[in-house]
Amino acid sequence: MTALRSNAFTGLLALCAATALAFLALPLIALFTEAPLGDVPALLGEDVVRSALEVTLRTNLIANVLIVALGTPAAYFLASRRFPGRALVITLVELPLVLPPAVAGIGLLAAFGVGGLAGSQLQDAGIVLPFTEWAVVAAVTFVASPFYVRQGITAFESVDRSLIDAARTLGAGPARTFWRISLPLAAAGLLSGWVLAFARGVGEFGATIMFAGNVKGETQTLTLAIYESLDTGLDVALAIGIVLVVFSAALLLSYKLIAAWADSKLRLPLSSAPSRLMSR
Amino acid sequence: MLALVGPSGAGKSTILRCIAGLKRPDAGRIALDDQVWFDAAARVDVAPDRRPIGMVFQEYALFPHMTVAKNVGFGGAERVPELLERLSIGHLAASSVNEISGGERQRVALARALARDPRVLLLDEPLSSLDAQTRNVVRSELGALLHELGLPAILVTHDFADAAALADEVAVLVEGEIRQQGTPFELTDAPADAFVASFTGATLFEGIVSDGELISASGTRFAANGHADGPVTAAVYPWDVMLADHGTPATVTAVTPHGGGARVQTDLLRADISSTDATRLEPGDRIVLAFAAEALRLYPRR
Repeated sequence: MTALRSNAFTGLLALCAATALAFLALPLIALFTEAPLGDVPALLGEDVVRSALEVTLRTNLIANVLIVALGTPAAYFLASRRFPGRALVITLVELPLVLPPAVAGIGLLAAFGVGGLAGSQLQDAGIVLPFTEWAVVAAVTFVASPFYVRQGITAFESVDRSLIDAARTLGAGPARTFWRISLPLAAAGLLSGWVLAFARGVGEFGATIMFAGNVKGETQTLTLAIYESLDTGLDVALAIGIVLVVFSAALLLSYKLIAAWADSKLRLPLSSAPSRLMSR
Repeated sequence: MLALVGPSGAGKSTILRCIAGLKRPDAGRIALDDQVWFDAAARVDVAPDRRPIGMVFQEYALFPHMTVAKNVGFGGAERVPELLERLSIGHLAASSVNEISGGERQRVALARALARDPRVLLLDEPLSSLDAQTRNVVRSELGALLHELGLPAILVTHDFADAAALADEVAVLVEGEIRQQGTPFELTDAPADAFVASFTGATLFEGIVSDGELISASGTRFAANGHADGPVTAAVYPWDVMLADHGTPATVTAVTPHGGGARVQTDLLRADISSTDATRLEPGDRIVLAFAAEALRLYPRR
């Protein structure tokens, strides 16, 4: 009786899992079956795809340089310093993660648009952001950087405090300690955070279309090109979809590989494991 | 070589961290000769990397992403070959610190601390993360090396045996205060209070002195001439207690190997006895124990 009930339960679980899996896999499979696979290389050579790819690469490259260059010190600062309001600042950093992209877009417009909060000052300085390639950069940076910073804070926080203390007693100042100890030990975590940020940035749609528009050759990224191709030619949209699926799968795989590699490389030796239980 | 000993939470490690500059004390002054490292009143606080100290951390805090040689060379590369040689870890120079044994890790930590030519060596529980076997070997090695270096050193440990084996001077720290400071022999000869006696190895029991006689809580009587009447805590070191024909009757509860002989635990006292005697004893046996009158130390209880 018990065995029968246990089998029935396992069967129910398997049924739910299979349904969920089928629902998740079907759209991905459909991309490949519905697209004229033989024509994909030719479709990808089309002008609209080429220019969207260029815009995507260029804007994401700039955005990711900004994210890493500013996000790394920001994450280290937030991970290593304690100050009043720190929890609030971290929440603020994380907010774009859960913010609807359309809200991000309208927020960027309200801040940097003509007549916006900082828009008129920028305009006086001769800088007009909205509906330019820089607007794409801003949108990507806004929505993707929290992935990097958040993971970076965790990565820096997980560096054993006594290693930092040890470096200080060995004559290293705060900057040398950062470069030689904190950064290398947090590198794997930073890298995996960056992979997530990069994936999010390439997939950016909502904030970009609101803040940067959908101008071919200037602000039209791959995702915006899919949107436009829905009207003009579904095959192009499917071809771009295939490219992005392959790209995303590759990113996810590298994310998992990095995590596994970091786990094996920095794990403490077994001999010191029991001692960690001892109180100081 | 000074050892700070005390129970967990006594503030031993905190003192080391203050000396190293890793923690800022609320008040006071820290100086080496005429170099002031910290002075709350004068607002002096030298950064840890500017203090000529060498610190060995509790779990060694070796940099896991560097080789043995890189770890040792972090504070100064010049002396690396010499130090690797001196600590017999030359063959490990290119090894990852994650692949070596606990004793080897300790030597790497020590070599790394010495590479900067420190003027003071700070050792935070350098033996606590080693297993019992390695610990004895490493303890004598460490003792010999520290002696040879002739460098002022402060050792923090919760184990009086470690402190006594390594340090010339031992300070017993409880709740942030030094209860007693002296050579290991001074401490066991004349422990300042019941806690120091217990911490240095004595067996404690409570009783009442009345008319030159100590009566333990269980009713056993001992001569206690010259002590004031009243409730006391009594302390007796196991090495002062022996098997005898006349003395205090006791029931054996456990017999364990200890040093070269054995330690017998009874319902009231503990005694260090020879292993020959120990083989004849079993838990439940009735024996008679005795100790010299001056081996009984009494501390009035308030």
